[in-house]
Amino acid sequence: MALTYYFMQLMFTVLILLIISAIAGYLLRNFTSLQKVLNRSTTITIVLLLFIFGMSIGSNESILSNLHKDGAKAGVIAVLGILGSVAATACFRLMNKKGGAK
Amino acid sequence: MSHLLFPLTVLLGALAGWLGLMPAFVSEYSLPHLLLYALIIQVGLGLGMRPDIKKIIKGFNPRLLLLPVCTIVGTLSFTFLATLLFKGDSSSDLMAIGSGFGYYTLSSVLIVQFKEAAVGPEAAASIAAIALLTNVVREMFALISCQYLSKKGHGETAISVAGINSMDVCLPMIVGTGKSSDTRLVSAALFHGLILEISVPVLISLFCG
Repeated sequence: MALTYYFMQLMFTVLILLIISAIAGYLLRNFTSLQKVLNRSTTITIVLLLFIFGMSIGSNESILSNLHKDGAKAGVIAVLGILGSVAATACFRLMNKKGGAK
Repeated sequence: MSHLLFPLTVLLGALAGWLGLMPAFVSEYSLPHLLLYALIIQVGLGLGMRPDIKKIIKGFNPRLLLLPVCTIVGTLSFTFLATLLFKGDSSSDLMAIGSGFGYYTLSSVLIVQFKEAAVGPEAAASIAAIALLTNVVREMFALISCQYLSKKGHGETAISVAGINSMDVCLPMIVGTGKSSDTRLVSAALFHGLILEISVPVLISLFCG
């Protein structure tokens, strides 16, 4: 129960932050100097997060010992996702053709 | 350059972690959390500040909504097949891994945060590591294939395969440059990336819940 609550809170925080900041970004879009700063700071934030993430992978014995298995799994999931996209686009084209013939 | 920077960062981090160089404050809860919020805010600002945001909004046409929906449904339904293949793993975790659409930075970081409270930091990092690899593979495949697909007249397929990257790194390859650029495909690609960008946190939180 506490977990669900925590979880909903996190999800809504992320969503609301995303929406508010997108609107703020739109309003601030003419400040071109801000854009350059933003590009750099975004890269720095991602680097910090990925470095921390890397550290938690590297310090974790069970992840390291399962890396070959997990890598194969990742490959399979990626290929399935790509195939799914290709199949879905075929459906999209079919639907569009039908719509166009109306 | 950024294409090498991010994978290298993960590798360097992994090396540091393996050598036991992980400072205590890092594993504390608040730092990654605050960084994630900072990242989300910057992703949102960047989205709103895109010079082509007006073009995206103007080029809107309800029919364009169909393509990102197809990408989401297609990717997730095929990812579901993976749950039949890997019976030992939780199917919702596999679906969360598939929900990155090539956005490996944000999706892996989101998975860590969302799963940490439920399964602990180690298991969360393990799932996020698979998500990272999965979405890196997808982005690499998109970078290799989307120009070819688009040139062969399969512009929509190129957009869908590119996933989130249809609005940034893959955009020039999909729509071509100069005279040959197809404006209808530009709107489709931009709108597709936009919808997927919003759907990544929504879907990952749904499957991690």
